[in-house]
Amino acid sequence: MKSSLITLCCFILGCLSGVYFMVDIDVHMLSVYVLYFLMILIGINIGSNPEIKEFKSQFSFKMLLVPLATVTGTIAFSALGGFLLSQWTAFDCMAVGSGFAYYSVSSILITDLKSASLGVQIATELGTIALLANIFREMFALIGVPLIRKYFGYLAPISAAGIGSSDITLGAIEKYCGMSAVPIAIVHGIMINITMPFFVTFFCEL
Amino acid sequence: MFIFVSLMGVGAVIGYSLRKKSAVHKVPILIQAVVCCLLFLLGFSIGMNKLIIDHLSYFCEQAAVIAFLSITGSIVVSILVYHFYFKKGSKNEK
Repeated sequence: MKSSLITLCCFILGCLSGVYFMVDIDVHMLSVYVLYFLMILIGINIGSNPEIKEFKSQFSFKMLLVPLATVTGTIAFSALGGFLLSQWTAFDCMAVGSGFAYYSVSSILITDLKSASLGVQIATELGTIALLANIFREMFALIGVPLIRKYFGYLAPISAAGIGSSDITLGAIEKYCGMSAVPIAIVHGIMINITMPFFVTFFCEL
Repeated sequence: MFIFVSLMGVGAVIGYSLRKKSAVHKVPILIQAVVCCLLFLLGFSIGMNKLIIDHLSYFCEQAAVIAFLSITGSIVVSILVYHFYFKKGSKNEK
């Protein structure tokens, strides 16, 4: 929760700086290069993760059905946004939904990838919607774990948490779903972490 | 698309080869710092954009719609997966 607040503060600070200060550098290109660096760091983090080996013994292919359910449900329902929001296509909404609560990276990816096809202005608007939509998802998943568990079952809090199931929401999942849900939640978070950049870039390019 | 996935793949190979070095476990802190830097830059480009700032509530409404749909979708399919594949082995659940 603390790290979420810090990142949110950085975003708000950036917004306020943008409102009150003008700079001569190309902010868009600068963010692209920093993003390349971030993708390498995310890869290093996945490759060096000791939990991947630890959960190898507890792993069953049935566990993969949970991230599959998250991806299928999120993308299919996000597509409905294309019918409800006249400005955006179903693919745009699917790209936003494909953030799976990873608001920081998904919003930056969408802004950068959509700039070529939609222009920087519209791409920044979609990136902003992605940031807000995925922040809302993370906040709701974190705060709503007890209610989601009570009314929608054992796997629903893991699925709703998206990428946060292996970090920020893990404590709440363990508390309300039991220890047996922890390996599922971690495998789920790792799988969503690996697939998120693929789905976001895929839907941005359609 | 391939640039991002390829860079992540290269990073994963580097991370796997360096997994026994203690310094590599500080990468999440660096990721957090880079994410903060990127969000600052994203916020900066949004702040410079008067059109977005003037219509922030409009963007919040659209974001809420997509967030609601994505959470609902994932919950609905997870209920189906639970009933068809997990219910039998549910002894350890809380």
